[in-house]
Amino acid sequence: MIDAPRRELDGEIDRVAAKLVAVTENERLMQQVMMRLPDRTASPWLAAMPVQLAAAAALLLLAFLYARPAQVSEPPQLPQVAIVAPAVSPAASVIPSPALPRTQGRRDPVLRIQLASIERADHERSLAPVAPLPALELTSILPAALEPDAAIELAPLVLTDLPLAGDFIATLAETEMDPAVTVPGPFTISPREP
Amino acid sequence: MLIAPPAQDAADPEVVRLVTLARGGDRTAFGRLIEDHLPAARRVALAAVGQPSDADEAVQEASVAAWRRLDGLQDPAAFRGWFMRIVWRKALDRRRSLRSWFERFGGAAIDAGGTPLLEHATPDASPDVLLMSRQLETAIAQVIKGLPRRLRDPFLLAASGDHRYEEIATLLAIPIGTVKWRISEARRLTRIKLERMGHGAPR
Repeated sequence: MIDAPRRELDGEIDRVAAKLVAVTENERLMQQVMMRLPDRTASPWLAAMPVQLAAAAALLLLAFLYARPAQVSEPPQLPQVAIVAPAVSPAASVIPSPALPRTQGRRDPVLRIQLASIERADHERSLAPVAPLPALELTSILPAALEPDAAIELAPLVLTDLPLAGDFIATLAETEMDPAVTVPGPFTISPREP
Repeated sequence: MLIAPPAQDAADPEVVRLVTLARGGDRTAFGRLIEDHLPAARRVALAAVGQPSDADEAVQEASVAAWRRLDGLQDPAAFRGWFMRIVWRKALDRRRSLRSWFERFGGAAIDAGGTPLLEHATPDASPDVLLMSRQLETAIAQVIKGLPRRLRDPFLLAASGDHRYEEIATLLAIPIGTVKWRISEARRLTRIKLERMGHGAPR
């Protein structure tokens, strides 16, 4: 229970505390406040917000266009690869190397160089493409121009096995085999006697 | 206990109307708002800075800030609490700047207990009682000004009679239970110091 003297002291403390924050009339204060009020227009930052947003969007668009890789339509790569392909050593394809590691995830240095050379083919210094040879030459002959009893002469045919690899050539040289098989000619085919 | 925080009307339609007008740029309406809350705002600032001139300067700065930020007030009915928070922050800024100025250039700190010029409550008392009472008032004022800020701020805000404990808790950003404890602790420390100074219960 709080005794009376202590309650009186608390009351005196509260009274003095209230006086410490008591204010007197200040008529000029309100006038000073009103004089200091600025024009309440939209803040310059808010007013300029649409312009700032448009500028930011334009900058973003420019940055996007600048950073995007150029998409230039390139000619098909097939003819270039066909031109450069003979430069690749045939040994690599004919004789498989057991020492070649698996190239999963990475490329062999030799192949990488070759692929790089293919990918960066110098079109100005490369050989001109060879025009394909005509497969057959057909000459139209009228039946009337053929003689009924004439013999057809066939030129001698020569069948030759082309060497496919170096080891094959070496084997032929050792055995002294003639790779060419010649069919003697000329042959004459006469019309069948009835 | 003499400090009895009064209840405040939270939703005053006149305040809402004036805030709406002020948002549209009506200076007169805003002046009415400030004028209605000016005494309480000055007491809030005075509780922080201790000097009436500094308190008035803080109130002016707070009024200008409120005028500029009026669009940020979401609930017009909450203008009073919103404005008091601005006043309190401006007063705290001023108190910090004043303390740093005193610490830099010397002189009495703003928190130092000065001699208050308090009017006596009982002018018809005898000269002895008057003298004793005046001495007690001076001692109480010195002790209150010497309290730690965390105790003195809620104590003086409550002593102003303008704010409920909830509003003080919002101003100081502390729980309401902490507000009550700090007010009680401020009073207890003041009483102990007075008794050590030889001031017991007033006779």
